[in-house]
Amino acid sequence: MAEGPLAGFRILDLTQVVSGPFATQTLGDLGADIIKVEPPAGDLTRSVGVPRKKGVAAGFLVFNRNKRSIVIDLKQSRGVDLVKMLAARCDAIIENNRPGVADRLGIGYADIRKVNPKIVYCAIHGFGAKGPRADAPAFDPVIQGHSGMAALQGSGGKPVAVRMALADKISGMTAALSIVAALHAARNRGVGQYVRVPMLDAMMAFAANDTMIGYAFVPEDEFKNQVPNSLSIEPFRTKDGYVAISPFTDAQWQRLTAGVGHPEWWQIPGRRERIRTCLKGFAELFPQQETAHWLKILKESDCPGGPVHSYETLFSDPEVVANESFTTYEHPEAGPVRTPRPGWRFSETPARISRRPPLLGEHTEEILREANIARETIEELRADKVII
Amino acid sequence: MADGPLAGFRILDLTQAVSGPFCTMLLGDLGADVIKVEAPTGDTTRLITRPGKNGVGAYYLMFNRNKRGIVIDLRQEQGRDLVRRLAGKCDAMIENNRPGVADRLGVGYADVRKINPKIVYCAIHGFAPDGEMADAPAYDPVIQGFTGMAAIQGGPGGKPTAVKTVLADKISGLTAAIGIVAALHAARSRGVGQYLRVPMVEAMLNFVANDTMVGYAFIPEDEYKHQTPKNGSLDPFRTKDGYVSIAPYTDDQWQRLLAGVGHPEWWDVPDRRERLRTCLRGIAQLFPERESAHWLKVIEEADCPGGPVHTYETLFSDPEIVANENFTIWEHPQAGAVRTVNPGMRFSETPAKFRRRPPALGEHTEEVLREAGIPLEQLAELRADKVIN
Repeated sequence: MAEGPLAGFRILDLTQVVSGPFATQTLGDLGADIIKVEPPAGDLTRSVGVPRKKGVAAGFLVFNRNKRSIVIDLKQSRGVDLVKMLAARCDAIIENNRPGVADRLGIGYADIRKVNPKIVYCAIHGFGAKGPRADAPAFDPVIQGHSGMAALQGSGGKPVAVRMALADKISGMTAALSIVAALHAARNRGVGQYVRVPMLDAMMAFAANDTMIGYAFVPEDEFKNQVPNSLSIEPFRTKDGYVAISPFTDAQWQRLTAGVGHPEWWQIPGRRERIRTCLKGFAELFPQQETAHWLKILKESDCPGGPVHSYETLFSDPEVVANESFTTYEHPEAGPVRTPRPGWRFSETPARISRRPPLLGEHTEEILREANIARETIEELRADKVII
Repeated sequence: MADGPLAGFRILDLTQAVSGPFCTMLLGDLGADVIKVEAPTGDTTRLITRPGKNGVGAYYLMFNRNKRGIVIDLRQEQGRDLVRRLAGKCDAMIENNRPGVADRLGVGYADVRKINPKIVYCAIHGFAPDGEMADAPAYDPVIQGFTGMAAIQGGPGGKPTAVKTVLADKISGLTAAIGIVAALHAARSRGVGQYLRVPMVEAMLNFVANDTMVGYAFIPEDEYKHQTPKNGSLDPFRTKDGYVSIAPYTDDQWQRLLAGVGHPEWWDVPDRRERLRTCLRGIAQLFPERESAHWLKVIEEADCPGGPVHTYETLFSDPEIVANENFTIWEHPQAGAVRTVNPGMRFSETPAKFRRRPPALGEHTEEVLREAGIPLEQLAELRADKVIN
């Protein structure tokens, strides 16, 4: 069986930029048929940002594989009708406009449920529905700041952002999970519904667990200063780069300290002091030899650890090569493009890249024909610039 | 309808630490019945006792709500029988042992599918199956280093720096949850049972290598890799008494914000890139002159994306958080009041919510085994033999 686990589900995607497109790319990786509705100017990421090759923006490609593209002008009422007609044929619909916009356009949940009461309608918004900022605009840095993530990443009181669109992408994955789950309720119990995924809520639900242990017990005064300084161990400098090490069990610590020739570091009384001694020892010892030397010792000690890659070295790593963790596809305009393989290895229903990111409006006609719109009507709509 | 969207699905959870437990907590939040099998000594995170209150560690609590807990000793054959028997009654099963361990214990996919061919069997492992490191142990820092995340956070020419949360573990958990729920569709609609491997490395790459990889998307990359924006996300701006975030994106948002802060002329710089640089530099110099509250008001009036920068000291009393009830406080029998964050999904009909506090070790052993049809006398025997407790 070569189809993904979500084969047979059709998703109407009205989103742009990162959060929504990452959600639908995830669903597309899993085999759902994603119909991406774009305005005549295209998803914003088609026209904004670098790098670009022959006019094609990498920022669009990285979030839009496994989708078909249809261009519909939602400022025209016939465009709105087309979206509703498509929604009637879909299992789910997702949008990430500012709250209120979809309703004003006539494609909010109230409008769509009339044509398809069993649909799962997902909206990714910045904030929850009940607070003073319910309708406020929000992009990634706003959510990283509001949720506490920037403060966690910073040190000495200076907040620092995680250097990627973390909040956008977490919201996208959370939305994907909520849609796939809600589709079970739709299939088993006939329940259609509205799912709001506030980015702030999604980010906190993801971040506020290991990072919040000092604030778990209420009142927290006694506990908040018991949180370890670093929740993840930093890479260690070597003579020619860095390595990661992560011993956890006593056996792993013992084998590693023996491997590096300092079993005595694990003899110190008091586990906490012992670990501190080891970490300090590694930091002094590792810069004396090359990374390859330490990687060999880590392997022989059977201790969790490994190389610290940048994109300069990652693609040629033997693991990455052996597992084909990246794929290259051919873009008609930009030539070969690199993309990571989906993060799931299903034995029976493979998640895979079955479509390169679409050109703007590449599938307009195909999709409308599938929806039984007559060829003459399509031509009329095109002439009136309702579709492209 | 008060049940979650996954009500009616039963998941057998053999995982510990973070990646697996985060996955099954999400499934539990969504209404699945999660049966967490623990060794007699319990999940390893039960041993993390700082911070702890009355003998209860906080760490375990954060990843184990909405589950029932059962203790089974897998070193005994009778224990393995029990797990296989439970697997026969579940829709999905998940483990995050080192590759090979589940097979050696007799609870690998080959064993379980014999009893339940339609089961979705998910394994979270460190690495993908085809390389030399396929069976290597891996924890979060190893994966953050391997996948380039630490290098990205360190910045060009900087020292690799970890993201200060167990990002790789949690991304793997979230990825596994999506994979399981998707595979359950294939199981329900097409009768397909299967093995799903989620390599942490690949789950992380799939999450990280998109916006961070735009410089390496086109091949060959030489011409493009230096065009990657330096900052994947804007750092907060210092004010007189703290920090605020701003994130104008469209030209309109920029212009309204600049007018709001009294410097519309910053937008007159001809080249767009130079213009943005001027604006960001100007704001960095201007914001330390006034308090956060002042700038938040300006940002709001300008209808520009932006907001407060919280620590956990200030987050819980933020008006958004209070109005939306993002955190729940529940009562633990030993540790008293405990705070937990609510699920990030708001379903109109099938709520994802806090239903059960994290279980005490073996709290539901008897209940779960009785449901599985094991008679009381046999339970007493198993208990006497320390197969269960």
